[in-house]
Amino acid sequence: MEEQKTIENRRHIYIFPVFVLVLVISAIFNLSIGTAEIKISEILGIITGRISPEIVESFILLKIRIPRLVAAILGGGYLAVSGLLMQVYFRNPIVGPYILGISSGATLAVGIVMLSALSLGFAGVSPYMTVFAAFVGACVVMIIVVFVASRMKSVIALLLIGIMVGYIASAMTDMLVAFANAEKIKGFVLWGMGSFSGFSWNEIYIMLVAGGIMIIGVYLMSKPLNAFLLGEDYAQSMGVNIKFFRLILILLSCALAALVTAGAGPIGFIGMAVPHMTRILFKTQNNRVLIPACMLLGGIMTSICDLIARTAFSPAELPLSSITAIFGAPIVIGLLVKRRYSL
Amino acid sequence: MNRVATGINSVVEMKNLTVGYGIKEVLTGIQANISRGQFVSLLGPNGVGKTTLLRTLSRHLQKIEGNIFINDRPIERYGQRELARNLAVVLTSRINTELFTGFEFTAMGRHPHTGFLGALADRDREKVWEALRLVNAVNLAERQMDQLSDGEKQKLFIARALAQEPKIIILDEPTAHLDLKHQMEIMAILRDSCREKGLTIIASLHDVGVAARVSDQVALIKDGAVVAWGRPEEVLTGTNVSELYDIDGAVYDRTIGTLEMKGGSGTKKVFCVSGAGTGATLFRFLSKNGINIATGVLNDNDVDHHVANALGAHIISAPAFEQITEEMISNCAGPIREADYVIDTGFPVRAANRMNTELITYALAQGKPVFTLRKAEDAGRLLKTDSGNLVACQSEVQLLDKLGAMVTTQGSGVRSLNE
Repeated sequence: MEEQKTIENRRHIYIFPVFVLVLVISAIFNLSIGTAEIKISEILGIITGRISPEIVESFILLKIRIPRLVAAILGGGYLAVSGLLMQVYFRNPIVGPYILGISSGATLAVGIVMLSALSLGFAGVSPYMTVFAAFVGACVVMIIVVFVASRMKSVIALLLIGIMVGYIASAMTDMLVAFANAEKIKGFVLWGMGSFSGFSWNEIYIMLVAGGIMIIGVYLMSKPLNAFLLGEDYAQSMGVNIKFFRLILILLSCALAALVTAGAGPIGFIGMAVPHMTRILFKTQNNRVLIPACMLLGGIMTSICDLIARTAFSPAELPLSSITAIFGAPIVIGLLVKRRYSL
Repeated sequence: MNRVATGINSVVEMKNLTVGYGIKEVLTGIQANISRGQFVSLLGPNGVGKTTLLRTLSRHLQKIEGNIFINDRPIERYGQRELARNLAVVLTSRINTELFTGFEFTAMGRHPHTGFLGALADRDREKVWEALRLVNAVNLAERQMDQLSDGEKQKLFIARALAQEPKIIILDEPTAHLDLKHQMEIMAILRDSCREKGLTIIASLHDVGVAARVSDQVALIKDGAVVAWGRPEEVLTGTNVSELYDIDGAVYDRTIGTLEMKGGSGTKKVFCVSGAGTGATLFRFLSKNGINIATGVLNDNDVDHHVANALGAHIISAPAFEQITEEMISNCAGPIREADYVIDTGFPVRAANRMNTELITYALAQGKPVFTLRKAEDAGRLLKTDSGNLVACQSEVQLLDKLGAMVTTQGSGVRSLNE
């Protein structure tokens, strides 16, 4: 029996380094390509301080490209982990924060806060406030979806409910925009299309610290998350406190999605597609492997999509969600078509 | 032997237990005491509350009233993880097993024993291999779960429960949807787990015969209550089983442990001279084809007697181990005269039943067509006759064919045979 002990899946040992390498390559492209080309040597020089921060390239890199890149990598990773949590919770591979309308709920809540602040004459809203508003909006939609889903067992019904609730939230956001003063809302409309541009370092720190804590929390929960793969009844029979765990699961997935949405607006399909891609690549459902894999691959996919959105028709910039949808939507269709198991 | 020694302390005890959903009571007043190493089967029609009781015992459902004790401690005083170390389940719910190998799936059972992040230690791996060996599924360890048959999957579900190292396993319909081979294999695995590992098993089953063979206790559940709970030998009587399932068309025979379909109400009548088990298969065939059976003279400890009785045949009986008497033989005369055919099943002739051969001679004398499974020369020697009405058949199959052909050509049977 000795030789049988090494049977467990060990693919992650060589896939993780590849992920890190690809992420680094993507980061380099993101930093150097653009309306102003910046060479790798220049990038290194600016970061290490050898090149004066006074020149234009330094400004572009430090104030625009690096924050945008970091936001895209973190945001993509958080969305992917948020989607992974939802997929575990609903035991359904086709859900994510965008498809279930969670992002739309967060957008609506942020819209309400931002536009009412503007109409009351405030110059802007603190990032803490938008994050909190996004979290509340995300939770409200999640509660609705969870409640309705508990009465229907079908995968398709769950998707449709999410999409419909998302539509309602988007419609309300549109109405809000229609009533608001056209000039003031320009920024809001741009944000509402989803983009990682315009992140301040302050916002990045919030994202890094708050999100980092949550990701560590999620990773520490990977054991009960794995038990959950067999369904609530089995998870409970293996010692998981279901009520508590369900609540934490929902709160964390909403908070991660809200954190990203508050800063970048709704970004589609990353949260749904990336967890699925990691499962295929690693050939496992083990969340202890999938959580870090989602962080890395979410960062890779989002930074690549952002690069395409920014450079494909430069100087015009495409909405990020249109790029993510082009690779994400076919994955949804593929999953629906080949679904071999019924849930 | 080890069961006798350890059977004293109760592992699961139910006191005046009422189970159900919310305020809707499904089963009330359940009393039971289950010891270490016992196999307990719950029997009853679908939807009667077997699953409700099982889910209450596994604490997936809140009990409504009464008490459940696990190892003499109230179930509600267990922490979730502590309960998981004592009790594992095998449920009927469908699970997405995509991307799980057999080993990985079984290893999920180690959950209540592993550390904070759930990494497997060497001891955990050993336990997983041990569980796989117990269910004869070592060969499935590297296979992908979603490519396995239902029976193979079920073995891994049981291995997962065993890997949890519980003292009790609760199974809901563990053999539903399985082929015969896997049904038998799974039941054998479960029974061995009780006998060898001292596990206590509580399972809902749908096969009375299987339950009778493996269980130490059976619970018959019907109409909101446990109508009987005890040893299968006491509880599983023909009447109890028929009442439990409201069966009219079949009879359970405790001795042979199977359910027999009652005979049809056809017009054809056959008298079988049988004994020592030579008639059982034949009776089932005749009964299946709607032929009324009369048989005799049979000792009432004969397998043929049990099968014939369960099939609702008319039997001329003799007490067990007793000589067949003149009087019994003469009681057969009427049924033989009424029969369309007479069958000699080729029963072994010994001192006690020698007189049965006279029945065949009598039937021939009455001009009845007689089918015999004896070799022609044996039949001739035994019956001291070579009547043209005696049809020798090489085998049971041939007899069934010949008889079948005759029965389907309604009414013309006797004439065509005489020609």
